[in-house]
Amino acid sequence: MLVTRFVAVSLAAWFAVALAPAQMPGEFDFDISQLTVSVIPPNGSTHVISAPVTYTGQNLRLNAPLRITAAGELRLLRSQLEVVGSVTLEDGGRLTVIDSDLLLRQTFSQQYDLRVEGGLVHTERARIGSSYVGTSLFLTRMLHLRGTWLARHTVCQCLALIIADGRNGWFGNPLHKGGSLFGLGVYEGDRADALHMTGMGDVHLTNGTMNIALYLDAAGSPVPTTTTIDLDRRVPLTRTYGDPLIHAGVTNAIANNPYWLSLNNHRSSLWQLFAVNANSALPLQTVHLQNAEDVICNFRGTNFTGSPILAGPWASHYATLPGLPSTAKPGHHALPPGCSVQLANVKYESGPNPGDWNSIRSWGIYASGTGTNLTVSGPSLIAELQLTSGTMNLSGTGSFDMGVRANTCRLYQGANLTITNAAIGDFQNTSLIGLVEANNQGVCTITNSRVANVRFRTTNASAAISATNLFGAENVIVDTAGGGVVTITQATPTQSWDRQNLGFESSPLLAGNTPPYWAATSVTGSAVATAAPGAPGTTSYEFLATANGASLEKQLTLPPETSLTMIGAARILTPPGSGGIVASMSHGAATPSAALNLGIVNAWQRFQVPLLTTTAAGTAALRLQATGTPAVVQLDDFRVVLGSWWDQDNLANLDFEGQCRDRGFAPDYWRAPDGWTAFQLRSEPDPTVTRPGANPGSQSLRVVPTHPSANIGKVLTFFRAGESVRVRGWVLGTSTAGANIQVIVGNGPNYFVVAPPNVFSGPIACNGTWQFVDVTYVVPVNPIYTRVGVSVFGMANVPVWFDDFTVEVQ
Amino acid sequence: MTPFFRALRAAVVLGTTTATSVAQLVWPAAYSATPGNAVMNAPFTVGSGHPTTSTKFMVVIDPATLPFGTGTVLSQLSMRRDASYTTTPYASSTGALRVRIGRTLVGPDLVQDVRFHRLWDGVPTQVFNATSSTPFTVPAGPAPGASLPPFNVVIPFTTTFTWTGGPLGIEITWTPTSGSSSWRIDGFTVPEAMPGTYRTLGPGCPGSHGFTAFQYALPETNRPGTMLTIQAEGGVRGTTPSLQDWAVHTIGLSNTLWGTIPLPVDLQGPLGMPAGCLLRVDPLVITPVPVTNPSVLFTRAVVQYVMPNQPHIAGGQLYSQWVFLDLGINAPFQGTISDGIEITLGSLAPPAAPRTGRTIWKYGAQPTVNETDSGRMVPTGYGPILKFN
Repeated sequence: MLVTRFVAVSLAAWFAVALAPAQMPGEFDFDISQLTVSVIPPNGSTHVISAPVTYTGQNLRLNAPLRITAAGELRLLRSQLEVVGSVTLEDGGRLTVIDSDLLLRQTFSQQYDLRVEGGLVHTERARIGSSYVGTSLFLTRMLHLRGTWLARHTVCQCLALIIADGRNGWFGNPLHKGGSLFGLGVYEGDRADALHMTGMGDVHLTNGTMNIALYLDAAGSPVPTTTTIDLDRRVPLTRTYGDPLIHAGVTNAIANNPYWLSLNNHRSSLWQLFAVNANSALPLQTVHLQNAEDVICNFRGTNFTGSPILAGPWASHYATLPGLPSTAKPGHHALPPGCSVQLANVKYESGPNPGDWNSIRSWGIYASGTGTNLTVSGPSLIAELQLTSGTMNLSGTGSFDMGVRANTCRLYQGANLTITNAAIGDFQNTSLIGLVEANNQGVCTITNSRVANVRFRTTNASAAISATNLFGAENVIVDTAGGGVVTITQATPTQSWDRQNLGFESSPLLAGNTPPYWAATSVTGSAVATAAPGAPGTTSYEFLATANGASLEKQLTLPPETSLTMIGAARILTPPGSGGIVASMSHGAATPSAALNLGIVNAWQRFQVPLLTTTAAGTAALRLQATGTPAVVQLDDFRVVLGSWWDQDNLANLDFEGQCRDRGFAPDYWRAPDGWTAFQLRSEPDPTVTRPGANPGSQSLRVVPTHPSANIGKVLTFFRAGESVRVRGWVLGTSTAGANIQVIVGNGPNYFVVAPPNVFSGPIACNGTWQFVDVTYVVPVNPIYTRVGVSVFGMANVPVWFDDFTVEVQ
Repeated sequence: MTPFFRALRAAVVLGTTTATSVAQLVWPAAYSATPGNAVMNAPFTVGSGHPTTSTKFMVVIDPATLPFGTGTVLSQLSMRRDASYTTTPYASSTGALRVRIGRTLVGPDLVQDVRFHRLWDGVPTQVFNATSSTPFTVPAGPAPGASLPPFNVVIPFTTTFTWTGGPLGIEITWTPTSGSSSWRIDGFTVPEAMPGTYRTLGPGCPGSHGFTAFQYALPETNRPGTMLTIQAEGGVRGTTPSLQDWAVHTIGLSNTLWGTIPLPVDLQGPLGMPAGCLLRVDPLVITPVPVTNPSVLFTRAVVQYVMPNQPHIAGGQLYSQWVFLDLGINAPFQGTISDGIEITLGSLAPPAAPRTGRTIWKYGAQPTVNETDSGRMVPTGYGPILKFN
């Protein structure tokens, strides 16, 4: 009986669990993605919905494009649908997403589109856009060409909503001139792009927060015009943009505006401005920027020639002039009062008041026409680029300071793009994978540049992307599945102009038993199956000097103001009878070096050549030289760390003799020293306060925290497990109760956790006198990255000073 | 009375006394001794397939509803498991837990942004931070049956927080030590009127410009006590004033019969409309409506009807269709007809009341300090039931 009761109770409990609804009433945050995935079998190469279909409470996947035709309706209720393909809504169709997600699953940016050619999209308590693939999101374009989107409490995730294109319709289709959006609570989800007011549609946004891109028709007026546009990002706005000659209820006129945009208590935290139909032959169209904080500006037009024109007193504010003035690194130029930048017939000018500063975060250039011949030279950040025919040349003037982030960088027809001395891709590690894509007969030629987080893609047999002297080339994703050629030229084994084989893992050895990718003088040797502690490989090179001055050498071609640090491991087997063994670098008159400790024999030692910074474009030599014989030394795991002012993964500007070019972004403006990042503080060089014993004429870093907890830091990825990293420096704080400064060196994102391997200096007294700090951190097994930071606690708005830090590998 | 029963009564009295004092610090106070009417998976439920294994929520609380006054020093926060999944026990788990508290820029009624870090007014106070090396333990949550679960997820603050007024934000980020975790907390929601729905009865017929007009009811308007708003898009736009500047709306109570005539009716015969133009609703009320041209490209027509503030009409159905005049049509009657829709009215709108709290949540959240991630939220008041000490 007892057993029977137990079974009955158990069965009842099991049924209660098994039959429980997937989602209780009021369980609004139910995670639908945890339900078992149901794959919708496509009814053709494209899944077509031509009648009402409803899915309720399901986690769905469709591995095919989706088309909803007239009289078709897809209703998602408390469901999630991931589509591996484009989604098209035809006129007369309906797409209803309520308490649900509709996400496109992509492996690169704009791989698929959400295309609305008519009909009705209704989203309510929904999320729409791209789905995460691992930790990455790739941008989905929602082409709203016709029809209506009724959006209620909808999160746009990694979505760019494009309301058709100009007055002529998308690709000239007069039926696709732009749809309508009625938004009540449209929200900016992860990596949301913007609502692009590109066509003749109308948008009504109420009580939401989503980025907006305004479009200005540069060909719309037969006479010069001046328009002032207020781009306040800080507060919700209520206003209506449009052309008062055409649209009703306009409060903020934009001449010849094809679209109508009504904001009712809506905030755009990031504005974009697109000047379209720009052309040098047309009357000048001047846009006065007002309250513009880190907006994104763009030029789109035909037959751009020459270079951007900087007008106004730029030289009164900057020693180095920009290509396109950008505030995102490597750019570092806000628009001073009265200054402007002009391309073709469009001029963006800071104003309207004489004291107004404005800032443009980054740029987009969309150029077409065989007459295009544009050159941009100098610090800039170009986030997006599209070149259809014509020629464009982009080049930096400082250290890889032409930024081509390549959200997308696309070439069409016979476009010819040349990029030199640039930083290509996403160096801020925002999980964006950039795209450089050559279509049709497009050709992209890249030289002397750095790359990170980028894909090179060709889609046509006649398309080509070639790169030479590309630092970081090993991490480029190459995609030629659609045809065409991607050529990344690296040194051959008998050449020595890049960073290959720094770890001495390449085989076979060259004639004379010298290592590949190195230039050898009076050296023979062998590959040995032993590796320095922590080194990633398994072999090292045993260097045998056959004459005094025997050396291994590499020559790197670099732009000016590029820092180099060389770190390596060596084990001396036979010290030279006289002289020494020295690692060095040279560029111009600078020849920093580090001598190996000849007293350490048969044991591995680390060396670190002090920082070298190039002063002009040219080569820098990296060398390991024995000045006496016999000398036998095993070499392994050399690392040559390249640094530019705008990145932090290097040992540059530890002494704070550099500038503070990274001004940070609105609204915080955390100005950082070159080569560092800043968190909740602003910094500037200070030649008036320096540490005891500082070099005459030197400077310190003056830091003013904006919050009670603030820091500067460097994320360093080139250290090996087991290495000791010694950090020393000077700090000065004035007397503030409860305040202190700490130097923290730690591993990965939890670097601040008070637990090994992280090391803390402990609270350093802020007593008005300079304090010396000395901490040593041992890189743990499986390091993520090493973060070196100087933190300030409890001193919001009270200045402190840092000076002459060093980081040594031991 | 036996000693046993005396002891039992004393225990009940003591328990009641204790509960009363605790009730003063439970938010929302109405749920101090009764289970909530909602369930929250965040922050302690973590699933797979997200960019990270962290779950985060942030609740914004109306200061008028807080069970303590300004100047109160908060030293501990507690939560209890839900009472909805009565037979589902939750296992104990460990992981990293971070709690931040601070003032938010706006109260729950004005939250219109789902990016967490933008809601703070200044820098929040990190009141608790258990890392993976010193993990926090979420205790087991036995199946409650009909009982009210205890506040057994207790987070003692390592840094106290003093509330100085204004809307209060509480953000909790949870990262289990390994794998996933499932632990629902008790929550509340403020019942709101449910918007109605609508469905398509069938398509209209195309105009001379190749498009078929369609319509929709604004969701927040199709319920009793509101102004039902129906919009139609896609009629032909005239370049000069003409009859095309007017549309005709019809609304009825049936989509099967117009008097004794079965629906739909092909209007080609009786009216001379182009083929395929079907009347799908009984035209009980016919309203001429001027069209608007917000984008100089197409017509839009909007019609509104007062919905009686009567609960009994909830769930009722209306049928809507439009006629657009189209002088480019080569037919005896130069016009087209839109699709037909069936509108089902939602429930009665309650009197307007401020939201007690609003919650944003995110699965796969960024667990570090420099977050820029966005969550989700619903328009309803929704949040966890919290106990403050």
